[in-house]
Amino acid sequence: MNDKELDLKMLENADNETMKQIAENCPASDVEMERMFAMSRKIYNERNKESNNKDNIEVSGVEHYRKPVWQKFAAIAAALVITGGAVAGGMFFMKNRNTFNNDPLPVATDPATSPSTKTVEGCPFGDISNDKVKMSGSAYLPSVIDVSSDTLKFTADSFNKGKWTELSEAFTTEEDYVTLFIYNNGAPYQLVFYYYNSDDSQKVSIKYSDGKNIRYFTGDEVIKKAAQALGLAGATDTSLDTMIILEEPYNDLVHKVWEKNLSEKDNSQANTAEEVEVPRLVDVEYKLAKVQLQERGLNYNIVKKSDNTVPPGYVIRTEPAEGTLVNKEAVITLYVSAEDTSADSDNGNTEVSAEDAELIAKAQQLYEKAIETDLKYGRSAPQYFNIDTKNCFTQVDGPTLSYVYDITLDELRAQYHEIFCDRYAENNTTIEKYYYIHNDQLCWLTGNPGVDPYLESTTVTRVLRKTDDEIFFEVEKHYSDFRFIVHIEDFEPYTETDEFSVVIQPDDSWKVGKFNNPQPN
Amino acid sequence: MTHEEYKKTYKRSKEEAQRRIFSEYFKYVYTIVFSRLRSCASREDIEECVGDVFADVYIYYDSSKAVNDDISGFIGVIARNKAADMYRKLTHQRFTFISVDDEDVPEQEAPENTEADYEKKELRSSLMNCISLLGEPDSTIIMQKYFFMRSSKEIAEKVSLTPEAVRMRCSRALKKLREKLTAMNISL
Repeated sequence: MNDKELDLKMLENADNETMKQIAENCPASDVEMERMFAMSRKIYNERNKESNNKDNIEVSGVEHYRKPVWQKFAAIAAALVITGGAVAGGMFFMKNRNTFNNDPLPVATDPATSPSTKTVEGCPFGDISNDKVKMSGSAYLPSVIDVSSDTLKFTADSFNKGKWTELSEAFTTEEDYVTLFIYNNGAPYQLVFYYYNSDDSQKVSIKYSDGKNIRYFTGDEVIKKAAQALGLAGATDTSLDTMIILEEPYNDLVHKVWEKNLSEKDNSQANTAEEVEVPRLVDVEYKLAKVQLQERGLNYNIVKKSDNTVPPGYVIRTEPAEGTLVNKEAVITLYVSAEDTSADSDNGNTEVSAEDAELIAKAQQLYEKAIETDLKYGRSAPQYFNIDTKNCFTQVDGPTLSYVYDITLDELRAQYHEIFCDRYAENNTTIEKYYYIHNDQLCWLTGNPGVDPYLESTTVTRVLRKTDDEIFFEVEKHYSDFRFIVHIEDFEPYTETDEFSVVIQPDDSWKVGKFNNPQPN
Repeated sequence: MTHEEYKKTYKRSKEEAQRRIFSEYFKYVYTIVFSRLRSCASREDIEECVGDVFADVYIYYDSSKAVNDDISGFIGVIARNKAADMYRKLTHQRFTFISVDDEDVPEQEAPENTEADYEKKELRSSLMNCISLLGEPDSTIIMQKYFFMRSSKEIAEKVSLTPEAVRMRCSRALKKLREKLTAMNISL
């Protein structure tokens, strides 16, 4: 064993109890956990499809089992019922989005009544099963993802089996649903699938485009099911690794999605430069937006706002706006469309004067700083100060303490009060609770703080009132994530409101006045 | 999570029910899988294996078998088996029986109550004890760096320090740990 290394191989085959102990230091991040959770659900869904059709399949081992195609059909029918809602939501969003497909607008009417030229069996563009194929769909615009090999095989099979009827005239469309981008050895083309209603049933029409020529088709039941399956695959198979976020202008996508290094470009931007560009997040589902920000090393803050033009849960705008260069770890405010649009706008909650908006933004910063500082001098102190926690000692009937070196109680108090004003007595509680003098030596209260509700975000929402030298704000605390909580009964995400005040100093700077730390300290 | 709770949550949302199981046992499963595969698998393989384990666990809950509150023992067995499968797949071992002389094969946990087993357990618990005595955040840094093989940058995010501070603390903590281990006459 050399000086720099430590070989912990002996822990590899530890017993279950030791494993639990090691697991306390599990390093997986939220993004990794989400990825694994999505993976587990995907495998689970595949297994369930199999066992529904074949009761006696033993589900164990990691051997990959390739399903017969007909089983997928049955499963798709069942899955459609479940995810139909999600897709419909995405379609609503698509309505407001005309720039994405900017081929010349077709002129004729219903595909069913359009004169057809010929019907062919088999895919008119050749077999795509061995091609490189990407896709985009209503549910996750403006992103493009790789089509997984399983999905591609099924799609190609269906395309080859289905009947394609070429139309001599263009059709006006219902909502476009799924777009496939096929690389075709450097001569790429795209297929846009549309749904339309005819004779009480839904049918599918297809627009082919290679950037120059456009052709129109309708497809039979087999092709329709393939398109539906693609939409579902998009909803469940989305792998963030292969995802490309498209940027405007959305022209010439046929070629653009294959531009080399498109995906690498995104990553390198995030990794090399100290400054990061704020990505385009408007009209993106806010959970997806959060992941994008995290991947770029940016922090976020969510503000819910009512907006009639953006579906609930989607981002209305960001602050700073897209394209702005910001330092890594900067906080980006995501304004997310809230569900209850009418009530909010009636209350005038969303109408904030420019002056107040400035105060609120400044208060938000101070509030976050206050949380951080309060924790720094409280439970997180060993990360910042020289505290000998490994030799902590318990007094008889007293707290467990650790010696603090290199700083005095007065210095600590002074530093703490650089942020916190002494107008409120409770602003002394953190220092008083955590620090003791024992044998003439400064000590820190040592102990396991226990498990906390996980604070996802805080939002200073409005100015409540002002006095000569103090401004009171309303702040919302969102406890909306229970991933860090073990053994909790029926946890529902919740939001609490609280009052927060800043005291204006003689030099016009602000200090924290009334404050309750939303993170237990 | 009891089966009763699972069913209740399941009625409201299947995903939520599964997420609760996942949250409860994730660290444990990840650690077991990682332990077995850390020498040979990529992170992607490990993540796939973890997903695979949980897929089985969900099915187990679905099938009404999970009547106990704590099924970590059972989950541990699934995790160990899946990881072993993956290990074989990755190291291209075609046969499930393995030579005891083969040095590449990690040792299997010996049957209980043997002397060797007891000694190893003691050694492990002493080691874990020494590491935990380093205090936070040093013990976390040491475990994440040398067992979970994370970079200083990744650890920095977890413990809210800068990567430089992590490196600094890490080398100091390592020195302390070595002193402790030497004092206890443990060599790794």
